[in-house]
Parts: sequence; structure tokens; C-alpha cells
Amino acid sequence: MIQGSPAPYRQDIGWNGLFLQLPPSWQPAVIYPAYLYFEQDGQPALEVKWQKIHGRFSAAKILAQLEKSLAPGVEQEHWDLPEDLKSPLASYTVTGFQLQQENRHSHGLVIFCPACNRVTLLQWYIDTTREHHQLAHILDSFRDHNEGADRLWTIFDIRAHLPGEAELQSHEFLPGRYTLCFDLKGTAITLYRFKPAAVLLNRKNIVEFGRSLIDRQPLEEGKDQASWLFKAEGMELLLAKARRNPVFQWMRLWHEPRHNVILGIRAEGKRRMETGILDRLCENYTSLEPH
Amino acid sequence: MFSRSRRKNHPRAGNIHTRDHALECVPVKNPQITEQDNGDGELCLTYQVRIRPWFQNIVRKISGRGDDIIERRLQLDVLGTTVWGMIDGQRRTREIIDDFQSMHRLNRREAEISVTTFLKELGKRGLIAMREERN
Repeated sequence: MIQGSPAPYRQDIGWNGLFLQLPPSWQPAVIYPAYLYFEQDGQPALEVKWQKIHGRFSAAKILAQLEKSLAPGVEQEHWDLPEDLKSPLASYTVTGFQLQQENRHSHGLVIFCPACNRVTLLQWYIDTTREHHQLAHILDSFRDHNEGADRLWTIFDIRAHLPGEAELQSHEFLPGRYTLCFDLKGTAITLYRFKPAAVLLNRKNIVEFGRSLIDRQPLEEGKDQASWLFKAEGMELLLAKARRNPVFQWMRLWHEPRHNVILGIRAEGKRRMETGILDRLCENYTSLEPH
Repeated sequence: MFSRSRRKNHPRAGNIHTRDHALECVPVKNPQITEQDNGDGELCLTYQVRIRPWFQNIVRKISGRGDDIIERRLQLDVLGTTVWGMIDGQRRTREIIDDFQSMHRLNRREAEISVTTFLKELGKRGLIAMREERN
């Protein structure tokens, strides 16, 4: 898939259907459900924005809209993607543009995928000629939809495969605590990542740590792992339904000492869920070496 | 469709000099602070603050004290204590972030936000000052 060897280390970015391989020094600085902004040493490196379109795709219309919204002093011009960079994007409709400002220059592409009807606006601030190899690799890695049933979510040092139907509801990347909330067929799925685990578990075990997230008795507890399960039954079920509380709650937390991290998945909803599905989610949720 | 509305808190390229400049500064501790180890690897910092004149009368009435200086304490957690320990008047902010990142296996941005937020808080309380390094 990706030509050239030896390949330098890249970070995978998988976010809401988008997939890219970027240099590890490019750090996500702004993260929205359909927008990502990366910086390198505090300077802009790449922006990606995407959206599903309804109706006919028109690159000219999108570029005209883009031009209208530019700040005064910024000029937008047509730009032709170099021939050798076109081949990785052969299955897409691609239109190039460049933005010129006094002291800043950027290039971009409007990429339309007929298979998923998604338009992606990719804009980079690196020098296209000098960083040609870098750019070739980024464009080569670009994917805007998944081939399989699962969708990859990977950013910073977490990596998860979730069913394609899981829709991102909210996300938070606070220092030490990442939270990603999804809706999976009416069940709220939350992915947690806590760091540094050695400090967080300094004076408490994983069950005590989990109490700040779920107010239930643990179902299983071990040295590095604990899980909780609550299924409302009888009167409790009636009460939970009347109060519109979840009738099903499940959570697992596990400690990965190698990466000094605590990972966790929580599921709750108004309908019971197979714990086998949740076990599979946990298997597919891992932490990566930070960069 | 793709209007480029700049959202609140969006980083701007204009901040680069300020950020780089800040990362090159060396945090220096206020020498009047006393540190107390509580035995759990956490420190409690005691420092003095001068009360504002319009508060002075109230404090005088409540505490019966006549001076305009009061003592404040700041309890640091383990992470705060780690960063506090790294402030030696020699290391630049950037170096503290590097050490903090590798010590706790955090990603760069996470370490940078944690350390700079903490240093900013210490600066606001007058517990540290930032010294510019001349190359």
C-alpha cells in the first residue's frame, strides 16, 4: 500500500472515518468530530475538514464558498497537484488550490469520494516541493471510509476498533484524562484513558480508582483489572424505567504498566447488551507508545 | 459548506513567538517559600501574601492582627511536587516539559499543557518568576 522503504515511523490518525499517516511530530491541536488541525512545534502543519454531501458534488462551488470566507489579504488560486501525487488519489475526484498570504503559503485539495459521498478539504502548510516525499506519504495513506465493518479510532496514544455504527457523541482530551463517548444502537459507550497510572494508583487500587466513575460493587477485581456489572431487575427495573435511568451498566478498567496508563470502557443504556460485544471492544482498545 | 469560521480557542500562527519565547524561559523559585514534605511524596508550600488595603481592615477586625501580610499554603499533588522539584533555576520550561513527558510517558502536548498550566498557576501566586535566558 505504501511505497518506499525503509518507511520512517508515522503516527496513524483514525478519526470518524478518516485515516491518515502523519509524521509523529505533528500533534493534534484542535479536534472536532469532522475537523482536525495539526501543529508542528507550535506552527500550523495540516488541517482536515470533511463532510458528507447530499446532492451533486461541485468542487467549484466549494472553492467559491471557501474564497468568500477567507480573511482580507488572503488570496486563493487554482493549483495543480503534481502528476506523481495524483496516483494515490486516483479513485477520488481531486481539485487543488493554494492560499497566499503575506508571510504564509498553503496548499490544499478538495477530495470527493464517490464511494462514500464524502468531501474532504485537506490543507497543508509545509513546502510542497521541499517536503514532497512527506506529502506523497500523507496522500498515499489518505482514506475517508473503512472497508470493513469496524471503524478505527486512533489519536494521540490510543487505538480502538469500534463497530461502524458507533457514532461519536462527545470527546475530551484533557491532560491525564481522555474521554470519548459514542452511541451504539442506543447504548452509550465511553472509552477512557487515564495517565500517569503510577501516580493515579499510588495510594489506591484499581477498584477504588473506578469508584470515581461508577457507584456500584465490582463484579470482578484483580491486580490490574476490575469490572462492574449492573442489571436492573424486578422493582429496580421498574424504578429505573420510571426514572429514565439506565437499566444496564457495565464497566471495565485495566492497567497497562508498560505504557503507564489505565484504560477503560463503560457501557450503559436502557436495554441490556451482550457482554461478549463489550469484551470484544476491550480487546480492540489499546494504548500506544506516546510520541 | 466548508466555510472557514475560526472557532474560539483556535490556535493562531501569531502565537508562535510568545509560545517559543515562554518555553525558553527559566522558572525560578521565590526564595521566601518554605516547603514541607508530608511524607507521601507531596509537598506543602507556605508563602506570604500582602493583603490589599481594602481587605486589611476586615482582616484586622476578624483576626486582631495589625500587619498586612498573611500566610498562605498550597498543597501540591504528586505531579505538582514532581514539577516543583524540577524547578532548579537552571532548567528551561522546555526541558522541564521534556523530563516530565518522559518520566510519566505522556505525549508531548499533554505534558506541555500540564506543565505550563501548573507554572502559570505558580506564577499567579508569586511562587515563581520566569527568567529570560539570553543566548
